[in-house]
Amino acid sequence: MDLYKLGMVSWWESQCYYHALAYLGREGIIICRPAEPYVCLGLHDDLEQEIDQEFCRAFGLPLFRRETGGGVVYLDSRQIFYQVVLRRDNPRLPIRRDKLFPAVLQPAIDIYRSFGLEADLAPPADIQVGGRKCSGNAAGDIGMACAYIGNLIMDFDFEAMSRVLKVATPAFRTCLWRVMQDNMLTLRDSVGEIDIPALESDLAKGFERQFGELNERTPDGEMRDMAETLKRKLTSRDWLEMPGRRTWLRRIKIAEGLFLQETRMGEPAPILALIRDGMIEAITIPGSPPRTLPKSEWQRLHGYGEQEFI
Amino acid sequence: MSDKLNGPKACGNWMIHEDVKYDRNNFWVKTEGRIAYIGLSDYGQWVIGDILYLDLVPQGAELLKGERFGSVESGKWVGNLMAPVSGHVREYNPAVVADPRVIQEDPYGKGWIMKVELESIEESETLLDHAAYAEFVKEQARDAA
Repeated sequence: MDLYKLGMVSWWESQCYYHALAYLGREGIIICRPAEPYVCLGLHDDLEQEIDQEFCRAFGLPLFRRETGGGVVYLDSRQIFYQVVLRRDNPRLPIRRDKLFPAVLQPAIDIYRSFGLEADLAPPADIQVGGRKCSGNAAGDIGMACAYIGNLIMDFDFEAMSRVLKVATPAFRTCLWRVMQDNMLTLRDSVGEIDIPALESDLAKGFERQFGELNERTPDGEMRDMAETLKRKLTSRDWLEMPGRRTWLRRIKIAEGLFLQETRMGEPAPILALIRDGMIEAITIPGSPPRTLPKSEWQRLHGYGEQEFI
Repeated sequence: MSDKLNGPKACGNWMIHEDVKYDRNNFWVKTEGRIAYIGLSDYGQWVIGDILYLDLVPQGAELLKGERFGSVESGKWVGNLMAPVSGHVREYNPAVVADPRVIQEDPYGKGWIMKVELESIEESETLLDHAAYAEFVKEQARDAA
C-alpha cells in the first residue's frame, strides 16, 4: 500500500487528499497535519445548529464538511492526522466497518503506550487514557472506498473549540470548556518535548505492522487535481449548509458515551447536565458553581423524573 | 404497511421473511401493485450497527435503482443508501424518521423506511427471493468470519 507522509500541509489538503484517494478508487495511508486552523464538520452535522459562524468569520476560520461520521471539531497544527483508505473490494475491509477500527487505531494506541500512557480503544472509535479521550476517529464510505480517519492530539485549543460551537449562554460555554478539559488528554499534558517527525515515523511503522509493506510516495498530479476539485465541493456554501441532524435540546458529544446537554429546566438559562453512559453525572445551575448531585438528590430537589428532567 | 410480514426464517443470527424480495445491499421490498414498501433486512441493520441518523432524499424525489438515495450514520461511520428499485418516494415512515433505531427493533415491521411508487413492476421481479437472499447472507457472513 502507498504511504503519504506529508508533514505540514495546508488546512484543506489535510482533508482533501484522503477524499481524493477514495474517489479515485486508490488505496493509501496519509500522515499529515494542517498548517492553519480550521473547523471540520461531520457529514451529518447541521451547520446552523452546531457552529458559531460569526466567530469563525471574525477569526478567519475556514469551514469544511468531510464525508465521514463524527462531529464538529476545531483542528490545527497540534494534531497529527492519520487517514487510511481501502477500496471496497479489499478483503481486509469488513462488511461491518466498525470492525476495522481496532486495527486502524492500534498504531496510535502504541504511540501513547510508548510514552507510558495506558491507552485503550473506547469502542467504537475513541482512544482513551484513564477515561480521558486522547484521539478522535471516524470513518465513511466515499466513492468506491472506505476512509478511516483520526488524529493524535499533541495539544488542543479548548478555548477555540468552545467558541466555535454554538451554545445558548456563556454559562454553557464555560461549562463546555471545563468538561472538555476534564475529559480530554493531550500528549502535552504528560510528555515534555515531542519530536514530531519521530512520532510520525513511529506511526507509519505502526501502520506497516497492521497493513503490510508501505511504499512511501508523494501526491501525484491525478491526486492533486482531484483534491483541488473536491476542495471546491466540500467547502461550498451549498455543501456546508446542507441540513443535518438537529436536536430539540442542545447536546454536545465530548467523548464516547459522554454528553453535555441542556435540560428542560431553568429557563431562560437552562440547567446543564453531564450525561455519562446514559446517566446524569453532574448538573450545572447558572450562577452556581458546577456540582455533582446524586440522582436521588436532584429528583428530591426538583420533583422530576429523569426523562422529564432531560 | 398493511400487515406485519409473514414467514420469518432464521438464517444464522438473522431473520429472513419469505414474502418479500431483497437486493444485495440488504434492502427488502414488498410490492402491493405499483406500490412498494422498502426497509432494511435484519442482516442489513446488523451490518450497519447502531443506526444514529438517516439522511434521505425529499419525499417525491425520483429513485434510480442502484443510485444513492441517502446516507446513514452509525457509531462513527457513515455510508450510502442505494435504491433497490426505481420509482418515486411517496412516503417515509414517520416513526423511523423520528427515531431510526426503530429499524433495529423491528426491521420488517414498524421499521419499514419508505413507500415508493414503482417505475416498473417488472424491475422488482429481478430482486432476490428469500432463498437466494439467504444464500447471499450465508456467503457474506462466511467471508466476514
